[in-house]
Amino acid sequence: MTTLDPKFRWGALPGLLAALMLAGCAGTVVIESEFPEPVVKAMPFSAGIYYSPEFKEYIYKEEEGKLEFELGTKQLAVYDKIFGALFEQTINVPSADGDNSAFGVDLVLEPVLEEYAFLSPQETATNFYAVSMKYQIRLYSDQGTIVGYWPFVAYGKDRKKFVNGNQSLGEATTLALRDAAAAMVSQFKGVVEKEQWRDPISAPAAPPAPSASTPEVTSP
Amino acid sequence: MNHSTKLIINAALVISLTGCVTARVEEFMQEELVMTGDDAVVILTNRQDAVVETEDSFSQCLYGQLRSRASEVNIISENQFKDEMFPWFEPRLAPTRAELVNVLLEEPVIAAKVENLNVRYLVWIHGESEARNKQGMMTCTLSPAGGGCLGVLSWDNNSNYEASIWDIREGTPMGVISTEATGTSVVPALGVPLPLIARTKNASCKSLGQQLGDILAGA
Repeated sequence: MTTLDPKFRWGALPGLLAALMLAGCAGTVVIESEFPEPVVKAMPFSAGIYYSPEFKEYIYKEEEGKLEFELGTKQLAVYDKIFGALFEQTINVPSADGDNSAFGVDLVLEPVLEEYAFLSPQETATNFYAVSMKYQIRLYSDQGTIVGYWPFVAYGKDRKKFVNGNQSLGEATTLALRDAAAAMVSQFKGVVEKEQWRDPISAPAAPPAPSASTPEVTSP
Repeated sequence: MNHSTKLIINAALVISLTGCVTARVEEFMQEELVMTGDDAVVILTNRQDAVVETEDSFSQCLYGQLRSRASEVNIISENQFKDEMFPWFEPRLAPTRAELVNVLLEEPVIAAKVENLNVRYLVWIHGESEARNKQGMMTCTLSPAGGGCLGVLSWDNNSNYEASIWDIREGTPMGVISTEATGTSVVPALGVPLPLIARTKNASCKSLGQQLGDILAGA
């Protein structure tokens, strides 16, 4: 049986408890950075993939500055897995809207994270942390003309942990990234298979932000 | 720590493990399970319900129960299966009815993966535990000179879980086992709080694990 050191000062107990509580509040947000190989049949295309610096180096920072964590490499990991599984060949290209014909790609894709948001259990009056990640996948021809964009929102939720809420936030974010993979495999594959990108028209001034009225698949 | 303090803490621990719980199990099997060779069973929790979500601790407990009660059966854990089938059993894509498994298996790469894993049955767990009717009051003080609590708290614990068994090869529902456990937790405090916790989740896990384990072991 474990017994306390006789030298233990009971007067220090309040301080210890306070330190434990603070440690719980200050827990780091851990997001999974390794994802499984998707079970999907690759499409017979060669895709150029462009990840902007904003996407690769995305850091979530609360306005109050209390919470800050790195998200870019985590989403890069999941998109690398998904694009790698969806296409027979993928090549990282230096830009999305430049001439990438020298790389021999059929199309170029650029994932854009438009918004990362979460709700705490206090805000939802539930026992869950809920995360939403608003993405847009932009499709370009090998010449750099935008030919389509596909907006979607990935969701994840996790039950709040007794001590460390940030752990739940990290797990909810991991689940949202996995949900992004599910959306890509189940819906985006159909977008590419329609091959609308083979018939580019003039590019729009800027792709609109996704909204409730935005159709799932849009061609300019 | 003096002897009496140790005694009180030990008593609190023992009593907290023996809170009174009433558990009930109901079984409705449409067909008998038949397993051969290396046939595997997967335990999954339903994550598609916006309100109710089964706790990870419950599915882990049930997995442990089944591993010990039906040790000869190849049981695949939820995380392993979801990773192997990624992303087809994520909440967005997981089939919500047994019949929809057939649609999923029309995709040859998915069917090949299921065959490779020798999966025969999926067991979907749905339900959760909750605490209701919280009553009472307790005041605790803590100071460098010492501390203590005074008062009493009580609440009702209720656990409801359901296990739906699907035959993944046939795409048919095989049956449902449901369990309900209820109890009242009380924490009286006269200096030291003495938690008498009604462990309904644990009771549900054990009763469901026993029933399901017996069915799987006899298949």
